[in-house]
Amino acid sequence: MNNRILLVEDNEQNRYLATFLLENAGYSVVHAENGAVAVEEAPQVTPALILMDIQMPEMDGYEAARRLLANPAVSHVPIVAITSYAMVGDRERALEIGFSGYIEKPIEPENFVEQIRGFLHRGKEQS
Amino acid sequence: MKFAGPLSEIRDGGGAPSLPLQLARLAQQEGRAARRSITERLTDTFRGYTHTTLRAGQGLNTLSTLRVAPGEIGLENRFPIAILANPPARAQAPAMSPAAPVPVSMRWRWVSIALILLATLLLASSVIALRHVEAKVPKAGGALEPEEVRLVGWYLFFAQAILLVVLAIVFAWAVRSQNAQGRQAASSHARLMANRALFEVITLNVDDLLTVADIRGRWLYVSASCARYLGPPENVLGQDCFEAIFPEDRDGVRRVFRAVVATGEVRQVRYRLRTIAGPVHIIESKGSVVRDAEGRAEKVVIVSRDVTEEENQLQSQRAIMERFERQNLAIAEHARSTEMLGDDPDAAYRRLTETAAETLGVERVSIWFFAENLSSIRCVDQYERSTRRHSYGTELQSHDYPKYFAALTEGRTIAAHASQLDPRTAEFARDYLYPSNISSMLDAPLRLSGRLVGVICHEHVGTAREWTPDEEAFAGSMADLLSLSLEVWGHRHTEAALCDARDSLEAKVELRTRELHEANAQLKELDRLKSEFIATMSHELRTPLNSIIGFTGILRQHLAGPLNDEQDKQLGMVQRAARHLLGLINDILDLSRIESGRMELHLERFRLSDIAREVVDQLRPLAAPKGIDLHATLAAGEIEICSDRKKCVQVLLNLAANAVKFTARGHVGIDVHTANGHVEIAVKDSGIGIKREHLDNLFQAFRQVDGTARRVYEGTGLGLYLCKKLAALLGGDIRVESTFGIGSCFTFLLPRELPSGAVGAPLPGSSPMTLSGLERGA
Repeated sequence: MNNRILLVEDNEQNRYLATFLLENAGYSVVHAENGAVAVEEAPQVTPALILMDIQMPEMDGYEAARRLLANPAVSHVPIVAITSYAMVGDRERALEIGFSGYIEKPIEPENFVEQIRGFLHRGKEQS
Repeated sequence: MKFAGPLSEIRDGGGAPSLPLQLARLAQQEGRAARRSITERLTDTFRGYTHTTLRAGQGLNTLSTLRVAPGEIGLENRFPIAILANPPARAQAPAMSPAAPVPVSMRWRWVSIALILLATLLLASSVIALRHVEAKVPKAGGALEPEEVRLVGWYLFFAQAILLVVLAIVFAWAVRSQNAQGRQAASSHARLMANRALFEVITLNVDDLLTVADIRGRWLYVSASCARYLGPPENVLGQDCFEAIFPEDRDGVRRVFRAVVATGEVRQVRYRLRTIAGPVHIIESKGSVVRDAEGRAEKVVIVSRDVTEEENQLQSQRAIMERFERQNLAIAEHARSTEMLGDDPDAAYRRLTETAAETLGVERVSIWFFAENLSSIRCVDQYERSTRRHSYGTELQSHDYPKYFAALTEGRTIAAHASQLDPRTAEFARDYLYPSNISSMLDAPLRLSGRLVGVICHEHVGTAREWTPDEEAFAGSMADLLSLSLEVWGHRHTEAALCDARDSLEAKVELRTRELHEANAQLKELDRLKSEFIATMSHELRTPLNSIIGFTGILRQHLAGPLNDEQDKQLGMVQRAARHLLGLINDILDLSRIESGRMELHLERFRLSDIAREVVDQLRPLAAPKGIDLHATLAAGEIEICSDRKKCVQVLLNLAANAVKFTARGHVGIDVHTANGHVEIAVKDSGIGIKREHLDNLFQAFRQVDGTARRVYEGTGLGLYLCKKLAALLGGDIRVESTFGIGSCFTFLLPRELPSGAVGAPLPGSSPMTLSGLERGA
């Protein structure tokens, strides 16, 4: 069973936090510092889920998602946005582009893993 | 006192100076009876006059007679009654006058005397013859008896004696008759004289000239009144009656005269006559024919009248009318002229001065305007008629010509006939009037809306000139026309100024609008920058908070290893502080969005019971430790509304959290029900309540009702403010009722349906909330 999760996040602390929670729950986490790296590495990683921060340097989450969804090799992988409540219209835009869902920052450690599990389950149902 | 013609004629005649002397002579020359008769007649005719005057003189072709009744002689106090006596020639030999009767009885006297003498001779011869016969008869013894002869002789004697007596009687009768006739003749002569005098009086007093000419036009008779025109009658009689007539008129008069003679009709003619003294008079004559016994035209009686004065009056009237006409025409033409109301005042000034100068025939006309304080006048145009040149610019100061300025400021027309002497204008005499030879000035004031603004000056050069009323009126009219022009120009100026002002106002408004637009754009940009800044800030703040909340969560879940109680307690404090900070950041972000109109609503249909339960569930961990009874009371049946669920929860959560926060014990209830087509969610508590005076401040940003409360109850002071804004954004409102110390009730009003187009429409009866966010978001 593929339990790889590609975490695209530029902030190291956030990356560590999410990684800690996910690995603690038994997932294998692969990191990408920004969208461009994610687009490049995703085909090799073949994750079960991509967690994508939106605001990142070099290539933001929207652009990265668009490219990933355009790539047949990874287009079936659900992408979940970690949206910041601060940015107006992020969620709508994210869903419009083709994100499978969104998780609001800040991450609630108490139910974060539950949310991820839900997305993975849904993605599995869809595929 | 009226002095009529005859009085002056005495003077003219030259006979006046020695009147008493002439009277004396007259007394000798004229018959007593005639004079008495004349005086009696005069007294009758002119009854009521104080004096009766007989008058004569060399020039009048009469004896100089003056009889003043009663008993006064003199030139003074005389009344215009004059009587002409006989002409001298006739007066000197009255018996030779053809008009005097030759007494018939005179011839009879001489015949009777001759007859008486003859009778006496016959008587004497018969006596002698008788004596001779008596002596012869006895001696010779003849045929007759001596006694018979004696008897015949006595018969003859007696016959002759009777004849003598008859003759004597006849003689006596003749003498008596002759005496009576003589008296009669004298009396009729006197009457004639009186009639003639009366006639003369009439001819004198009617002033008409009575003349008679023969049909060839030679004077047969001229009345005394003609003397001043033609000269003494004796020089005139027999002369050509056309001689004195003005050559140009002579033929015309002659034609009329011939026509009168030829037709016998009465004709009238007017002509100029050169009088004996020189001056030309205008005479009107009317001729009519007098015919002789056979009906042939014999004479022409001409009655003439001196119409010089009448003609002169007509002429002057005509002249006045012409002047009027000229003035009126000039006024009308100026009023119609393009210059008068044109755009060039200087052209109008020039036209006006020229018109006035030509019409009034004055040398200079000028227009002057006062300075604001009437301290000086300045010439805007002066026209000189002789040179046809205009000039301007002269300025006169009031302190130099105080009297003139005083007269000017009275505002009446200054008509100075003798400007060099007139007190109003004499100030100019030395420097201006004498050097320029100005004799008369006419200054008409210029008014604008009743205010004196200037003057139009007319200056006449040469001999002094009496300004006539019509000339003054004309000057006034021209001034009025100029005033009208000034008024129109003033209006136009005002209009132009208004136009300019309007234009500049429009320009200003446009500029201001543009500035406002720019400012608005800048503000929008600033607003955008602010929102961006807040968003960025909150993102940047959120990132470390993310870590704080996340790691404290991990630690407290013991995912990173076990914690002791103290560690867990302290990490709990960090977590609460971090969550509070996050809430604060989110509130600020919400406010910023609402105010910048970027707050988005996500409408969905949901049940109020759901959100009430959700809120109660969320707050239970807070209420439970204080022992507060937290519950939701739901009306029968589900209430479903269409609105932004998340924001409804946010508001309700905020209200309920507040209630829990400010309630130490008792209860906090959420009551959901419908009212008047909208829904109400009331949050009631048994908390500390709010003082009436603090209710007003309740919904203001960064304020808690009481500064002291702040220490006891944590909170940002943004909560209620944000709730009120959010409620308004959802088309609802928040109302509060509170009793201090007993508890509060916050009611969240919401429409059942919030159509996307009606976002932000406040509920009826709710206080209107003007939120920039709403306006911009709509």
